[in-house]
Amino acid sequence: MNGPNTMYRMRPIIKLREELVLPKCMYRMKNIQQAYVNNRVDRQLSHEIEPSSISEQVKKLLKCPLPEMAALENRQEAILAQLADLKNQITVLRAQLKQPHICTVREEADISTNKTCNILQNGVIHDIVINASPRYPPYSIAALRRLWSDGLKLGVRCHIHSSILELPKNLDKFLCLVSNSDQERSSLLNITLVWKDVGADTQLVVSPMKHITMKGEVNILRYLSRLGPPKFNYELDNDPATSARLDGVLDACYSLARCRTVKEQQSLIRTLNSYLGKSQFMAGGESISVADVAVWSVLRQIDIQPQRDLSSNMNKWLHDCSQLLGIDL
Amino acid sequence: MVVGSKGNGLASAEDHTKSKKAQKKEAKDAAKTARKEERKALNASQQHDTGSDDDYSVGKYGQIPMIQSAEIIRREFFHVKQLEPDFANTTVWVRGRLHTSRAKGKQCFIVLRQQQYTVQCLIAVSEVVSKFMVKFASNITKESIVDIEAVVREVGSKIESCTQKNVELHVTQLFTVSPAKSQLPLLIEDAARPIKEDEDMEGLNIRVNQDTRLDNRVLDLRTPANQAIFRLEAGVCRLFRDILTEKGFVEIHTPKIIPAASEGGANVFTVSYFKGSAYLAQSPQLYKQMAIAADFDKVFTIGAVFRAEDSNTHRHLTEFVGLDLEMAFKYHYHEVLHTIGDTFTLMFKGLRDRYADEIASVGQQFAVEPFKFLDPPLQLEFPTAVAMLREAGVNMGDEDDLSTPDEKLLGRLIRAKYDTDFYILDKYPLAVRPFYTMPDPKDSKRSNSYDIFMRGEEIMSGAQRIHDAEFLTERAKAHDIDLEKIRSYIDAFRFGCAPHAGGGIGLERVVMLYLGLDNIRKTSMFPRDPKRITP
Repeated sequence: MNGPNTMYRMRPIIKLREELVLPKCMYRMKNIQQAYVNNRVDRQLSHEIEPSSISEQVKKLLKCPLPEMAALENRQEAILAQLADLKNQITVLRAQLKQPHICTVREEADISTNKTCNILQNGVIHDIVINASPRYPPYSIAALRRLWSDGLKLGVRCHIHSSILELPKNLDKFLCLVSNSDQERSSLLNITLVWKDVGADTQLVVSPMKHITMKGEVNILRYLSRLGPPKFNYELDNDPATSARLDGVLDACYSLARCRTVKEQQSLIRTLNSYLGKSQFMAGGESISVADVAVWSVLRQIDIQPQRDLSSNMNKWLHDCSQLLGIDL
Repeated sequence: MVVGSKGNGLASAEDHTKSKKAQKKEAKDAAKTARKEERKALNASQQHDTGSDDDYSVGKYGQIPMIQSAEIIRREFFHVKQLEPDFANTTVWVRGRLHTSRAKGKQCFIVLRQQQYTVQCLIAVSEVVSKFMVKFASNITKESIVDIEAVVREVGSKIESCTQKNVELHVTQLFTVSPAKSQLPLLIEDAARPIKEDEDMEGLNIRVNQDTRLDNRVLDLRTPANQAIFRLEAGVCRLFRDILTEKGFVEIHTPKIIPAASEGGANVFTVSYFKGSAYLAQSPQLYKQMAIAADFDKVFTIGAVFRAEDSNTHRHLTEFVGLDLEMAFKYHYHEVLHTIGDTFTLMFKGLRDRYADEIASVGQQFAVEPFKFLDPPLQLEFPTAVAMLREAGVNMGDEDDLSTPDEKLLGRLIRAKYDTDFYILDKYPLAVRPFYTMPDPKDSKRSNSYDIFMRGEEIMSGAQRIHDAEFLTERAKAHDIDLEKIRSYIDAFRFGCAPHAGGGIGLERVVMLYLGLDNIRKTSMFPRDPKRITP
């Protein structure tokens, strides 16, 4: 009846008896749509014209508003008025205390640091698990540990999953870099790094109850950069345009780790190259960012020869990153 | 005489009154017996004949007399598992059980089983095999032990029903060594049938229930899964011994008859001991600790442990094998905890690498997920576990012990997050541990104790023990324990004792959880529970 006429009409699948006998052991509720139904029936009786389209029906509905709708509208108006009042009060208070009208970014950042610390200290996040394949070691974790140092101490513990029979020897150096026993006690964020055969899909598990598993090293970096010191949070530190550009860089890294052909690989490296351009770091400025860490990490995982496959500026950039992070693998 | 004649007369009268039907039946019976006799005579004559000319295989089959070690026969036997295509066209002797047989005209297929390995044998009428030999083969009862001489032949298409898929044996000689009764209380085939989640309603669906299995344990143990389970159990024991011996532990043997209950909580069995009574040891703990006090430094023991608990659950036995260890440490009980963790990791690796066949064999009958672990093992603190459980919606206090459902849930949470079936939970609340547990020096509500879990079930409960007699007395008083009853325990620490910690596991429970089985009776060869002390 009230559906659009452009659709097929379906026959009811089951026919109900005329009168349904309802149990009387519970309170009877008023049908909340009764008013609307009655209204419509009345209207139909009086006009006998079927509404030809939805828009007409809506128009009709708006013409004769229901009492419930009016009540709801009134309530909303009241709440909005209350909010406006509160806002006024705060403005007055602020004027009295001589506070600037707009908080600076710096202050917001401090708040977020405190919040992060609170989250971590109060044990909302006890420990996050990163599953990585020995074929794709998450060098970025080692880089973040160096980069953040005191901003947010990372305590990394490594485990080998039973599906991995033996860890390749070339990971020894990485393990030394990533795990440091004296930091374990004072660390704010504990990372359990499990070597497991997950391919290029490095996984992040925060809490199986509330989060789904995150896949891909760059996505883990995005997650960590929100938790980490605000200085390194690319979304806080840059204007939206730069943030979006850096997201592009991160996505290119994601694809690069999953390349199947050399051709694909080369085209992605060219993309990264153009992102870098002539600037010193990926973000364009003079400071290293999460995007640099991501590219630096993925270039170590894939099979390339820097001298041959990368441009000269890229080579210089790679060298600078390694120097800055103090990691030479 | 008169009586006799009268009787005769009666009988003849009865004969006459017999209904026609009965007469007919009688006649039929008579004919039947006559025919039987005839056949017997024929058989006898045939057998007689075969001896002379017809049965050319005589002497190559039959039942050999009971082996009483009358003579030494030097004959090289092959194991069924050795039979691979490289032996093709060689003649081998094999001794095994007749698993199944199927006769079809002039040939008979036999599946020969030796432990969990099976091979298909073919007995077909040929110039060496007479039809009488084929008939003999088809009449051997299932589960009989037979000696077979046969030629190994490679087969074109794989034999899916046997473990040796690429060869079959063409029998040339066949003897029964020990025949089985023709009626078996359970069929090995039925007992070994894989348990599937999605029950196929139409397929053959015969199950052997647990009690029938246990009543006829000898037959039940012949299934491939059971063969594998108990080999793996031996492996656990051996690895435990080897790993700990390697780490400098000494194996000790503790008494099983003890004068008094050694540990609170679990009940003890009372046995009569000459004029008085004694108890069966419910834990070797006291003796392990005395060995430490006697400067053995690191000790372990493997032996029976008795618990008089009337609990009929899937994981309680009244007698089980305990693997216990105790170790002196220098400054921190984590030295011991790491040793225990490492022992388990090495054990799991050993099982994974050396018992892959057995694990696969068990997996064929009981589809379970392989055991997952981390190296080094995951170690969490009790408050972390409580926080994880609270996050999942469990209401519990800081000092509450974990209930069994909580433990299971925690196991699932940890598996989802860390993907491991094995983990250590450290720092239990002091309130839920026995009096001899060392309290945490930094937090009076916690203790230096730990539980170890496999697939969400506790397998080991251990702690740093109090090694100071004075402090031990104080703690015992706090727990309202009668000091007289534990005098000998406290006295053991009066002459100086190294700080030590340890724990114990139940062999059956560890094997059950490692394999992911649902009942501990599956991993005990002859289980003892409140309702069963046979066989």
